[in-house]
Amino acid sequence: MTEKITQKVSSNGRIVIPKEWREKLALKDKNEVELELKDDKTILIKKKTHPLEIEDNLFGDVSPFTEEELNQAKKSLFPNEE
Amino acid sequence: MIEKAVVDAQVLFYFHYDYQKIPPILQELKQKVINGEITIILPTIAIAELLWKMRRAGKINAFKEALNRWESSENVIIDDFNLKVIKLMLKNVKSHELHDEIIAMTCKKHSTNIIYSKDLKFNENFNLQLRSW
Repeated sequence: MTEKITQKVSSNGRIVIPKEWREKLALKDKNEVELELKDDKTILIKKKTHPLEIEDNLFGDVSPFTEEELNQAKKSLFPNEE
Repeated sequence: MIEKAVVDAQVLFYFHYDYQKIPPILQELKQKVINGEITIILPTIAIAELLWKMRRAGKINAFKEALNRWESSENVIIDDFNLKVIKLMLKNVKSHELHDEIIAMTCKKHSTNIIYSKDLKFNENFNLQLRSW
């Protein structure tokens, strides 16, 4: 679904993103947005996503470290250490 | 001033695990990193431990993707083990496990006392402020 509004651009190029839209995107104070100019006609504004925000469970099918694994990993780094 | 903290291999793993299964303190840490409220330091030695695990699990591509994300993340510093760390190790009178000492001295290198880990030795041996789960 596409929503549209019309806004006036201020003298220094500022526009306001409507509160409802900011809430939908969870866009908060100091968050960053990316602006994309398409074909010299359209400006697309996207909320900048921090790479850690990507919730795709990269390691989801692996079990968390066990104590034994941590010890083995350490020994793998320094095998001759007492 | 924005808080800084070193994280260990377990934390790196949990950053890419099912969010609902992550210990609450690490959920909070992840959110703080995203919001720019904390800078985390990833010692390369901790990254190597995770590589060891993910190789055994046959998940090398997932590891590569995670590494790409850390490298391109704001508020995330990947710290190379280097001569600065060795020089800080020289100030320690006692002998410690090299792995633990390198990670602890990475804290000193970045002027922070905070470490996210379950390993009590970071507090006992190096007097670091342990944030555990």
